Amino acid sequence: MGRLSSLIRFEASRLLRFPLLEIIVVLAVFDSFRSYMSVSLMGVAGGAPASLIELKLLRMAFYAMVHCPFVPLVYAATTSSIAHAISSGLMRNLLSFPYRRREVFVVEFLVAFTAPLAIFLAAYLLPYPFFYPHSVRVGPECLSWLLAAILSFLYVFSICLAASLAFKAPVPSFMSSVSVLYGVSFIAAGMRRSPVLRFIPPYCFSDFIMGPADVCYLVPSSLLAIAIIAACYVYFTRWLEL
Amino acid sequence: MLHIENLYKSFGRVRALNGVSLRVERGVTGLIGPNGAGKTTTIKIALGLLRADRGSVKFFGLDPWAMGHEVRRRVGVLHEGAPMPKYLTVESYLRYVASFRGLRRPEESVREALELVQADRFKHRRIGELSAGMRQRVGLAQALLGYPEFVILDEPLAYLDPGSRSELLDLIEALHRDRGMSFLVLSHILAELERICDRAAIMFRGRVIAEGSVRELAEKYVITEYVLDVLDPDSWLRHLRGLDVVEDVRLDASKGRLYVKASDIRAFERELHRVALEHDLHLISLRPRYGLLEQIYRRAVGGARGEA
Repeated sequence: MGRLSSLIRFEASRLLRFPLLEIIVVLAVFDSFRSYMSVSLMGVAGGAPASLIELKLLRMAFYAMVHCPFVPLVYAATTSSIAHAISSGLMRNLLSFPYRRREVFVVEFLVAFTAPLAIFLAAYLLPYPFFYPHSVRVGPECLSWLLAAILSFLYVFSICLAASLAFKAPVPSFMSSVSVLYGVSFIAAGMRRSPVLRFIPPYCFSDFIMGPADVCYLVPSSLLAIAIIAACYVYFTRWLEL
Repeated sequence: MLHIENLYKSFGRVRALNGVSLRVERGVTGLIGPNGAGKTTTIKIALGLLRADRGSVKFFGLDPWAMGHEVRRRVGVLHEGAPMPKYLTVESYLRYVASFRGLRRPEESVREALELVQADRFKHRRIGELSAGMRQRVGLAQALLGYPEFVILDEPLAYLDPGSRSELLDLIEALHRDRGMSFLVLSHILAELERICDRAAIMFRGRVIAEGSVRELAEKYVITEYVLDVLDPDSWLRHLRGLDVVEDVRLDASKGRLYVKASDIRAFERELHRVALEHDLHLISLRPRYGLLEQIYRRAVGGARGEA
């Protein structure tokens, strides 16, 4: 366990060092602030009951998180660090220590996926108790929104991870991730009436009044993300040559 | 320790290894060869970093591709160019390495490794701020940390000044002698490598073309090029040119030095003594033109080029 926790700390310090960590935090805080400001203006001005405003606010936080335009950029950057480790020989050096490849893959996944997710969650959710300190409720609705946010992030991450392992160089990895993800968004934006749009994150949620049932629209993209990550795992553990 | 049989590896259409067979046992072994000979590829396969197309590799009796983590538990490695994270300080990086290796007393191991390679004076500096020679020392410290049973050093003498090279070779000798550690050293700097190697393997165009103890190799690839320092070089030149055993002789008049290439070194030495006695000539010194290992290397690679 000590060896694994050392590896996690080492990879976290490598992936999330200046300026990447600072950029992620700034983007997350900026987008969170922007969404809170807009929902506060909308919700409070509407004269709705406080409990509804609270729910709306929390829902909006998750909605904004799922729709945050910076998430593809953040994951493209963190996964291109993995590509940089491969191209620079750092990964070769790391795999010359007595680690199983699957341990290294799991650590890369944990650090590169979880850390930005945690930063975004903190940026979007921490302000909530400050807005409504006496009425923080965590119900099934909240958990479904959280799940939706995680699955949306996983979808973005899976594409970026695949690009980093395919190109094994930071610049092509970053450019291809960003091109694919924003390209999909661009195409999706152009087909607003198509039913296919319901299955493409973040357009699964057409407006911010999303219910727990809407999470089901994330199933196809989540399955795709899981399949991509499984393929990356098999490639990393069985085929990747350093 | 490391047994490789008939190993093949291609990168696209380029064949990097073309049937490499190699046995590395306890001791200090040199793996030498020109750039592109396949030395680093062989080592990467032995560490489970690359997968062979064909052939068999057993490192401590294990298949490194399937059981690489078990192999690497017993092996310290310095990769060529010593890739390390530039943002960490030397000491903090080596602490990470100690915990990666699961060492019981990481602090003590790091201190010892830093002292071994004389890197303790810059242990608080970031790796990115170090000179190439300093980084090479940190890479060596990483490989030697915890005194692993087997150490692979890919071009360890690169970037080091002559004094540091000599110190490193002394260190390898001492670690082998006192702690029973074994080394596989990949290097181009043959004259210095010769000092420490019990055995050597020569690679050329993806094959091992010669392998054995340095003595065995010396006997096989007979040394024929010598440097003679003499008092009367013109007379020596005249007489040496008349000998059947001498293939070529060249005079460096400014130094009073002759460079001789002989077809049979024993016959040449007999003739040399005869000429000196018969013509009352003085020979100050006679020594091989190149280092032993370098001559073996030149002969082996020359022969392989001829065959190709």
